[in-house]
Amino acid sequence: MHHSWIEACVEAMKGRQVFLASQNPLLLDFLEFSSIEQVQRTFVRCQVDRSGDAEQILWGNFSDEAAARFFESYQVGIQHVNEILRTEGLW
Amino acid sequence: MSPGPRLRFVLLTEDTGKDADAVLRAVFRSVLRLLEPDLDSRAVSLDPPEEEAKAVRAVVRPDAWRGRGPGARDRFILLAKYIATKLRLADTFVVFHFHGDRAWGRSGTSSNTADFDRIVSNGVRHAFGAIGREGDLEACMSRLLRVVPFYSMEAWLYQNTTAAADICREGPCGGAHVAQYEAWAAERGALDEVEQIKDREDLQCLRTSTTPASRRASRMRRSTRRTSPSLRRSTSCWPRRY
Repeated sequence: MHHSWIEACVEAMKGRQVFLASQNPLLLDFLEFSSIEQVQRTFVRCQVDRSGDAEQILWGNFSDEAAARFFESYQVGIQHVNEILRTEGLW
Repeated sequence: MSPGPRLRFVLLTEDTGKDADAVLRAVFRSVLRLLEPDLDSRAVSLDPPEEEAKAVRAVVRPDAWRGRGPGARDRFILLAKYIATKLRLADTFVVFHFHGDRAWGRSGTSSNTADFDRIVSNGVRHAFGAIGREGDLEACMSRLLRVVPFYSMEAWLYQNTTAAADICREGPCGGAHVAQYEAWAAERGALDEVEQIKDREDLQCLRTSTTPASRRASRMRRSTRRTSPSLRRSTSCWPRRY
Protein backbone atom coordinates (compact mmCIF):
# COMPACT_ATOMS: atom_id res chain seq x y z
CA MET A 1 0.00 0.00 0.00
CA HIS A 2 1.29 3.46 -0.85
CA HIS A 3 2.29 5.81 1.99
CA SER A 4 -0.53 8.24 1.23
CA TRP A 5 -3.12 5.44 1.31
CA ILE A 6 -1.94 4.30 4.72
CA GLU A 7 -1.96 7.87 5.95
CA ALA A 8 -5.53 8.31 4.71
CA CYS A 9 -6.64 5.02 6.31
CA VAL A 10 -5.04 5.88 9.67
CA GLU A 11 -6.67 9.32 9.53
CA ALA A 12 -10.07 7.78 8.75
CA MET A 13 -9.74 5.44 11.76
CA LYS A 14 -8.98 8.22 14.24
CA GLY A 15 -11.28 8.42 17.27
CA ARG A 16 -12.40 4.81 16.96
CA GLN A 17 -11.15 1.67 18.58
CA VAL A 18 -9.61 -0.48 15.90
CA PHE A 19 -7.67 -3.73 15.84
CA LEU A 20 -4.98 -3.92 13.20
CA ALA A 21 -2.73 -6.88 12.54
CA SER A 22 0.09 -6.23 10.12
CA GLN A 23 3.59 -7.37 9.26
CA ASN A 24 4.03 -4.24 7.17
CA PRO A 25 6.39 -1.75 8.81
CA LEU A 26 4.79 1.19 7.01
CA LEU A 27 1.53 0.89 8.92
CA LEU A 28 3.39 0.93 12.22
CA ASP A 29 5.35 3.99 11.14
CA PHE A 30 2.15 6.01 10.86
CA LEU A 31 1.17 5.42 14.48
CA GLU A 32 1.64 8.32 16.89
CA PHE A 33 2.31 8.30 20.61
CA SER A 34 2.16 10.94 23.30
CA SER A 35 2.87 8.89 26.44
CA ILE A 36 4.29 5.64 27.75
CA GLU A 37 0.78 4.58 28.74
CA GLN A 38 -0.39 5.07 25.18
CA VAL A 39 2.45 2.86 23.95
CA GLN A 40 1.35 0.17 26.38
CA ARG A 41 -2.28 0.46 25.33
CA THR A 42 -1.51 0.45 21.62
CA PHE A 43 0.66 -2.58 21.10
CA VAL A 44 -0.39 -6.16 21.69
CA ARG A 45 2.60 -8.37 21.15
CA CYS A 46 2.37 -12.00 20.12
CA GLN A 47 5.29 -14.20 21.16
CA VAL A 48 6.03 -17.89 20.95
CA ASP A 49 7.24 -19.33 24.23
CA ARG A 50 9.21 -22.54 23.69
CA SER A 51 10.00 -24.88 26.52
CA GLY A 52 11.34 -28.22 25.30
CA ASP A 53 9.09 -29.52 22.52
CA ALA A 54 6.12 -27.49 23.74
CA GLU A 55 5.18 -24.18 22.20
CA GLN A 56 2.81 -21.65 23.64
CA ILE A 57 1.62 -18.43 22.05
CA LEU A 58 1.59 -15.52 24.47
CA TRP A 59 -0.29 -12.29 23.88
CA GLY A 60 0.35 -9.23 25.98
CA ASN A 61 1.00 -5.53 26.18
CA PHE A 62 4.55 -4.26 26.59
CA SER A 63 6.00 -4.30 30.08
CA ASP A 64 6.45 -0.93 31.81
CA GLU A 65 10.15 -1.09 31.10
CA ALA A 66 9.75 -1.98 27.41
CA ALA A 67 7.14 0.73 26.86
CA ALA A 68 9.39 3.30 28.51
CA ARG A 69 12.33 2.18 26.38
CA PHE A 70 10.25 2.46 23.23
CA PHE A 71 8.86 5.89 24.10
CA GLU A 72 12.26 7.27 25.01
CA SER A 73 13.61 6.35 21.57
CA TYR A 74 10.40 7.51 19.86
CA GLN A 75 10.78 10.96 21.36
CA VAL A 76 14.31 11.32 19.95
CA GLY A 77 12.82 11.27 16.47
CA ILE A 78 15.57 9.51 14.50
CA GLN A 79 14.10 6.03 14.13
CA HIS A 80 10.82 5.03 12.57
CA VAL A 81 8.41 3.13 14.79
CA ASN A 82 9.21 -0.18 13.09
CA GLU A 83 12.94 0.43 13.56
CA ILE A 84 12.53 1.08 17.28
CA LEU A 85 10.53 -2.11 17.64
CA ARG A 86 13.17 -4.13 15.79
CA THR A 87 16.22 -2.67 17.53
CA GLU A 88 14.67 -2.92 20.98
CA GLY A 89 13.79 -6.58 20.44
CA LEU A 90 10.05 -5.92 20.49
CA TRP A 91 9.26 -7.15 16.98
CA MET B 1 12.67 3.86 45.70
CA SER B 2 16.31 4.09 44.68
CA PRO B 3 17.17 6.44 41.81
CA GLY B 4 17.98 4.87 38.45
CA PRO B 5 21.52 4.82 37.09
CA ARG B 6 23.05 8.21 36.36
CA LEU B 7 25.08 6.93 33.44
CA ARG B 8 24.04 4.37 30.88
CA PHE B 9 26.41 2.47 28.61
CA VAL B 10 25.03 0.45 25.70
CA LEU B 11 27.51 -2.35 25.01
CA LEU B 12 28.00 -3.59 21.45
CA THR B 13 30.55 -6.26 20.64
CA GLU B 14 31.52 -7.93 17.39
CA ASP B 15 32.31 -11.11 19.35
CA THR B 16 29.72 -13.82 18.89
CA GLY B 17 30.68 -16.20 21.71
CA LYS B 18 27.99 -17.09 24.21
CA ASP B 19 29.66 -15.07 26.96
CA ALA B 20 30.68 -12.15 24.72
CA ASP B 21 28.27 -9.70 26.38
CA ALA B 22 29.40 -10.70 29.85
CA VAL B 23 33.07 -10.40 28.91
CA LEU B 24 32.66 -6.92 27.46
CA ARG B 25 30.62 -5.86 30.47
CA ALA B 26 33.27 -7.12 32.90
CA VAL B 27 36.20 -5.71 30.95
CA PHE B 28 34.51 -2.35 30.43
CA ARG B 29 33.56 -2.13 34.09
CA SER B 30 37.19 -2.76 35.01
CA VAL B 31 38.43 -0.12 32.59
CA LEU B 32 35.88 2.38 33.88
CA ARG B 33 37.08 1.69 37.40
CA LEU B 34 40.64 2.43 36.30
CA LEU B 35 39.61 5.71 34.73
CA GLU B 36 37.15 6.82 37.40
CA PRO B 37 38.02 5.13 40.69
CA ASP B 38 35.46 7.24 42.57
CA LEU B 39 32.57 6.42 40.26
CA ASP B 40 29.75 4.72 42.17
CA SER B 41 29.09 1.47 40.31
CA ARG B 42 25.43 1.65 41.38
CA ALA B 43 25.10 4.82 39.34
CA VAL B 44 26.14 3.04 36.15
CA SER B 45 24.23 0.62 33.94
CA LEU B 46 26.12 -1.49 31.42
CA ASP B 47 23.67 -3.16 29.08
CA PRO B 48 23.95 -4.98 25.76
CA PRO B 49 20.99 -4.76 23.36
CA GLU B 50 17.99 -6.85 24.28
CA GLU B 51 18.48 -10.57 23.63
CA GLU B 52 15.68 -10.49 21.08
CA ALA B 53 17.05 -7.43 19.26
CA LYS B 54 18.42 -9.64 16.50
CA ALA B 55 18.42 -6.75 14.06
CA VAL B 56 21.15 -5.06 16.11
CA ARG B 57 23.01 -8.16 17.15
CA ALA B 58 23.31 -9.39 13.57
CA VAL B 59 24.86 -6.19 12.27
CA VAL B 60 27.57 -5.71 14.89
CA ARG B 61 29.23 -8.91 13.66
CA PRO B 62 32.53 -8.29 11.87
CA ASP B 63 31.38 -8.79 8.27
CA ALA B 64 28.04 -7.12 8.83
CA TRP B 65 29.14 -3.75 10.17
CA ARG B 66 31.56 -3.56 7.27
CA GLY B 67 28.57 -3.79 4.99
CA ARG B 68 29.01 -7.25 3.51
CA GLY B 69 26.39 -9.88 2.85
CA PRO B 70 22.77 -9.84 1.75
CA GLY B 71 20.54 -7.24 3.43
CA ALA B 72 23.63 -5.46 4.71
CA ARG B 73 22.49 -1.98 3.72
CA ASP B 74 19.15 -2.25 5.52
CA ARG B 75 20.81 -3.66 8.63
CA PHE B 76 23.54 -1.04 8.61
CA ILE B 77 21.09 1.87 8.40
CA LEU B 78 19.16 0.29 11.24
CA LEU B 79 22.34 0.10 13.35
CA ALA B 80 23.43 3.68 12.57
CA LYS B 81 20.02 5.06 13.56
CA TYR B 82 19.94 2.88 16.69
CA ILE B 83 23.33 4.20 17.82
CA ALA B 84 22.38 7.78 16.95
CA THR B 85 19.17 7.47 18.97
CA LYS B 86 21.04 6.16 22.01
CA LEU B 87 23.64 8.93 21.74
CA ARG B 88 20.88 11.54 21.79
CA LEU B 89 19.63 10.29 25.14
CA ALA B 90 20.95 12.13 28.17
CA ASP B 91 24.01 10.62 29.88
CA THR B 92 24.02 7.64 27.53
CA PHE B 93 27.15 6.23 25.90
CA VAL B 94 27.53 3.59 23.21
CA VAL B 95 30.52 1.30 23.63
CA PHE B 96 31.53 -0.53 20.44
CA HIS B 97 34.08 -3.31 20.70
CA PHE B 98 36.00 -4.64 17.73
CA HIS B 99 39.39 -6.32 17.55
CA GLY B 100 42.60 -4.83 16.22
CA ASP B 101 43.31 -8.21 14.57
CA ARG B 102 47.04 -7.53 14.77
CA ALA B 103 49.73 -7.62 17.39
CA TRP B 104 50.27 -4.07 18.62
CA GLY B 105 53.66 -3.83 16.90
CA ARG B 106 51.84 -4.15 13.57
CA SER B 107 48.87 -2.01 14.53
CA GLY B 108 49.75 0.42 11.76
CA THR B 109 48.75 -2.21 9.22
CA SER B 110 45.25 -2.71 10.70
CA SER B 111 42.51 -0.85 8.89
CA ASN B 112 39.86 -1.76 11.46
CA THR B 113 39.79 1.59 13.26
CA ALA B 114 39.80 3.53 10.00
CA ASP B 115 37.04 1.22 8.68
CA PHE B 116 35.00 1.84 11.80
CA ASP B 117 35.34 5.61 11.50
CA ARG B 118 34.59 5.57 7.79
CA ILE B 119 31.62 3.24 8.01
CA VAL B 120 30.05 3.32 11.47
CA SER B 121 30.96 6.79 12.76
CA ASN B 122 30.06 8.42 9.46
CA GLY B 123 26.85 6.41 9.28
CA VAL B 124 25.86 7.61 12.73
CA ARG B 125 26.65 11.21 11.80
CA HIS B 126 24.39 10.90 8.76
CA ALA B 127 21.68 9.35 10.91
CA PHE B 128 21.57 12.46 13.05
CA GLY B 129 20.54 14.25 9.88
CA ALA B 130 18.95 17.60 10.39
CA ILE B 131 17.82 17.16 13.95
CA GLY B 132 21.00 18.29 15.67
CA ARG B 133 23.06 21.44 15.61
CA GLU B 134 26.75 21.00 14.97
CA GLY B 135 27.75 21.46 18.63
CA ASP B 136 25.18 18.87 19.72
CA LEU B 137 26.43 16.46 17.08
CA GLU B 138 30.01 16.56 18.33
CA ALA B 139 28.86 16.18 21.94
CA CYS B 140 26.84 13.13 20.95
CA MET B 141 29.64 11.62 18.88
CA SER B 142 32.06 12.01 21.80
CA ARG B 143 29.91 9.47 23.64
CA LEU B 144 30.55 6.78 21.02
CA LEU B 145 33.41 4.91 22.68
CA ARG B 146 35.62 2.54 20.70
CA VAL B 147 37.04 -0.45 22.52
CA VAL B 148 39.85 -1.81 20.34
CA PRO B 149 42.18 -4.29 21.99
CA PHE B 150 45.13 -5.63 19.99
CA TYR B 151 45.22 -8.50 18.98
CA SER B 152 41.83 -9.24 20.52
CA MET B 153 39.86 -8.91 23.73
CA GLU B 154 42.02 -11.54 25.42
CA ALA B 155 44.88 -9.02 25.49
CA TRP B 156 42.88 -7.14 28.11
CA LEU B 157 41.00 -10.09 29.54
CA TYR B 158 44.17 -12.00 30.43
CA GLN B 159 45.58 -8.97 32.24
CA ASN B 160 44.11 -10.51 35.35
CA THR B 161 47.26 -12.56 35.66
CA THR B 162 46.69 -13.44 39.31
CA ALA B 163 43.42 -15.16 38.45
CA ALA B 164 45.04 -16.75 35.37
CA ALA B 165 47.83 -18.24 37.50
CA ASP B 166 45.28 -19.57 40.02
CA ILE B 167 43.27 -21.20 37.23
CA CYS B 168 46.42 -22.79 35.81
CA ARG B 169 47.48 -24.16 39.20
CA GLU B 170 44.03 -25.56 39.94
CA GLY B 171 43.51 -27.13 36.50
CA PRO B 172 45.09 -30.08 34.68
CA CYS B 173 48.17 -27.99 33.80
CA GLY B 174 49.13 -27.95 37.46
CA GLY B 175 50.74 -24.52 37.18
CA ALA B 176 52.78 -25.22 34.04
CA HIS B 177 52.04 -21.77 32.63
CA VAL B 178 52.30 -19.72 35.79
CA ALA B 179 55.70 -18.41 34.73
CA GLN B 180 54.13 -17.03 31.55
CA TYR B 181 51.43 -15.22 33.51
CA GLU B 182 53.99 -13.85 35.92
CA ALA B 183 56.05 -12.61 32.99
CA TRP B 184 52.99 -10.78 31.66
CA ALA B 185 52.37 -9.34 35.10
CA ALA B 186 55.85 -7.86 35.00
CA GLU B 187 55.55 -6.65 31.39
CA ARG B 188 51.89 -5.94 30.79
CA GLY B 189 52.30 -4.42 27.36
CA ALA B 190 53.61 -7.79 26.15
CA LEU B 191 50.06 -9.16 25.97
CA ASP B 192 49.33 -6.69 23.18
CA GLU B 193 52.09 -8.31 21.17
CA VAL B 194 50.75 -11.88 21.22
CA GLU B 195 49.31 -12.88 17.82
CA GLN B 196 46.03 -14.83 17.80
CA ILE B 197 46.17 -15.10 21.56
CA LYS B 198 42.95 -17.12 21.68
CA ASP B 199 44.50 -19.96 19.72
CA ARG B 200 47.71 -20.25 21.73
CA GLU B 201 48.24 -23.88 22.68
CA ASP B 202 50.16 -22.91 25.81
CA LEU B 203 47.14 -21.02 27.17
CA GLN B 204 44.68 -23.85 26.99
CA CYS B 205 44.19 -23.66 30.74
CA LEU B 206 42.39 -20.34 30.25
CA ARG B 207 40.39 -21.42 27.24
CA THR B 208 39.15 -24.60 28.81
CA SER B 209 38.70 -23.21 32.31
CA THR B 210 35.29 -23.51 33.83
CA THR B 211 35.79 -20.10 35.38
CA PRO B 212 33.72 -17.76 33.23
CA ALA B 213 35.78 -15.32 31.20
CA SER B 214 33.74 -12.49 32.64
CA ARG B 215 34.88 -13.38 36.16
CA ARG B 216 38.49 -13.48 35.03
CA ALA B 217 38.02 -10.00 33.66
CA SER B 218 36.49 -8.67 36.80
CA ARG B 219 39.75 -7.30 38.12
CA MET B 220 42.15 -5.42 35.92
CA ARG B 221 45.26 -3.95 37.38
CA ARG B 222 45.84 -0.24 37.45
CA SER B 223 49.21 -0.70 35.78
CA THR B 224 47.46 -2.12 32.72
CA ARG B 225 46.46 1.32 31.57
CA ARG B 226 49.98 2.62 31.82
CA THR B 227 51.52 -0.27 29.97
CA SER B 228 48.95 -1.70 27.57
CA PRO B 229 49.30 0.48 24.48
CA SER B 230 46.00 -0.60 22.94
CA LEU B 231 44.12 0.19 26.15
CA ARG B 232 45.88 3.53 26.40
CA ARG B 233 45.02 4.41 22.82
CA SER B 234 41.36 3.36 23.15
CA THR B 235 40.77 5.32 26.34
CA SER B 236 42.66 8.39 25.14
CA CYS B 237 39.69 9.18 22.85
CA TRP B 238 37.12 8.84 25.62
CA PRO B 239 35.72 11.72 27.68
CA ARG B 240 37.87 12.80 30.62
CA ARG B 241 35.03 12.86 33.17
CA TYR B 242 31.80 10.88 33.54
